[in-house]
Amino acid sequence: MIAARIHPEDLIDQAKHGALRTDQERLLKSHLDGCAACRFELSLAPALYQSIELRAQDQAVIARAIANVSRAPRHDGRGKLGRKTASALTLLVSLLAGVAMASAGAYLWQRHNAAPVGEPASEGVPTAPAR
Amino acid sequence: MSEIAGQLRAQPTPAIPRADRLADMGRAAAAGQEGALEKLLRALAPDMLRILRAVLGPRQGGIDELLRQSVLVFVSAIAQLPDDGAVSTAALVIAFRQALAVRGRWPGSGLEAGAAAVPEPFPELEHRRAVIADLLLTLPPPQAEALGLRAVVGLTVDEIARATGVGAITVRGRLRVAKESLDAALARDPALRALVHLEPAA
Repeated sequence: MIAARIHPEDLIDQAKHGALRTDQERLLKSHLDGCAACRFELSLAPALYQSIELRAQDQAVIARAIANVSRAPRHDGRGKLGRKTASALTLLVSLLAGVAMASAGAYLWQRHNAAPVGEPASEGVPTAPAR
Repeated sequence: MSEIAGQLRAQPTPAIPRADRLADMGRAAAAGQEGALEKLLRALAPDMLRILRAVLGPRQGGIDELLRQSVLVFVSAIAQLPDDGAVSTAALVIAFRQALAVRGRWPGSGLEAGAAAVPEPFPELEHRRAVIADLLLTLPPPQAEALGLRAVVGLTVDEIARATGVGAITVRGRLRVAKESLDAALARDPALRALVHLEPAA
């Protein structure tokens, strides 16, 4: 049975940042002697993407991506509203408040002018003829 | 190989001041400061594009739209990012995930018309890039993500653990499996072993 190979990822991280002590360097070297995968990983250090050269036309690609975001609505999750949105909301709340006040006034006026409580409501109710 | 270790040991660490600057920009952008978001995106978008090209290849079509999507996802996430200076890492991880998702859908397709005839200016780098990119396509998704975040994005084990929401031990396990596949791919590719001096020291 072959034991699973342990890769010294922490030593590789330290090597990428130039922070290896002499004893750690010796340990890492002894692993690298038998591990092509770790040697390959170190050959890409600090990261593969940093070796990728951008082309002249890529500046336009980047500019378009950023311009697109500045035009798109932002959802930053902090409840910040744009000036126009805030103005529209203020107008809407004022309108709703006005409608609510008018409704309340109409209701009070209607109650004030209604028939007094206790007056018999005989109109329209059929009664038996007296004998 | 000792040359590799020697070169690495001698490398300066210019990334730290840049990370601090980006963290400040990230805080300003999250706070909604005028122009801060655009400044941050101008700093991060080139690296996001490099990530896309590293995973998808230099001549993959549709990069324009993919970068736009990556930037939008990053912008929508910026307010939720922890205030620990990881704004750059977050942008790179988002771009990598976008590229990985697309690579699964467009394996070997989407090349720009006529682009295959253009000679690659850095054939050695392209060879190494292609080895990793092919593995990302064939490995199971968790291992592919771990290997990509390690080799393409350059994250540490702890950073990968935070980005993927699993423990460091799980990340090490995924990297171990991925490196077995990488080892096998290198064994099948003697040209690459010679190209980047991967043969063990005599």
